[in-house]
Amino acid sequence: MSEFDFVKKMQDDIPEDVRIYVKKSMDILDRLHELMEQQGIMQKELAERMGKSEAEVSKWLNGVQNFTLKSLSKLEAALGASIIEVPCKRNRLQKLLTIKVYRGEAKPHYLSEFKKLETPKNSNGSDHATAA
Amino acid sequence: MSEYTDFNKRLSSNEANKNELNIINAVIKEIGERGALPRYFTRDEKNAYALPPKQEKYFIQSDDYGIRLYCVVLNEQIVFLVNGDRKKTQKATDPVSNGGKYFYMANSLHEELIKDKLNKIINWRDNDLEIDDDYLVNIKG
Repeated sequence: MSEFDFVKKMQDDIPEDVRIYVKKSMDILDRLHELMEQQGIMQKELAERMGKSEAEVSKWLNGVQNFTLKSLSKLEAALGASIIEVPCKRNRLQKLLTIKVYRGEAKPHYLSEFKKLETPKNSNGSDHATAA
Repeated sequence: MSEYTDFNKRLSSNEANKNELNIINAVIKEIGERGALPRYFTRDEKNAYALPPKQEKYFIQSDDYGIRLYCVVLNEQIVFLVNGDRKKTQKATDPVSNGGKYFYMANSLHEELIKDKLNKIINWRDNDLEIDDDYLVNIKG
């Protein structure tokens, strides 16, 4: 096997879970740096906001960490912004409800803000769907 | 054979190294897309940059600091992957450290490249490395 093929095989053989772990860890690391840059703060201020030692925060900002959900929540609270997003059931349901209104079916009162999606009456009085 | 291939061949012959090698190689792939930012490397000693990035403490045992691949980082877009080994002592400069040889090799390569750049023998800017085909660098290690 050529040297090029060997190195390629090493790359190709990386298990998918390891790829995902490394990618997500580096995404979180980059996101933390991005938020701090946007807010113009250094690790010392972030540590103060979190009530943590600067050494601990430095560890999070320099390397890939196996963050606990608790640590991520503390970081999100301290930076006032989202670091990770999870596609959740609530968001999917909202989409389904929106489609129901669009089709002129029963409209829950809490969706009244979707006025532009309400169906106009036909001359014969029946509901029909229109494209928004 | 390149130093990086030697590193992979030598260490992958032991199944116990597989997971650590996978992480290092996955990080290299990500760096290829994101650029070689300092935070992606471990920088404990001298000018040496090493992979993987710093990780949780549980990963480190008293006589095992994990596998290190030493690198020379010229800028965010040019990185030389050198060689490495399992780091058994806290300092790579420790005479009994088996990674020491590669640590010195990376440091020496870094020093020589900087020297040759100052002497206008080679040059680099962004992702452009200007180097003659017959360029040779003598490094210790």
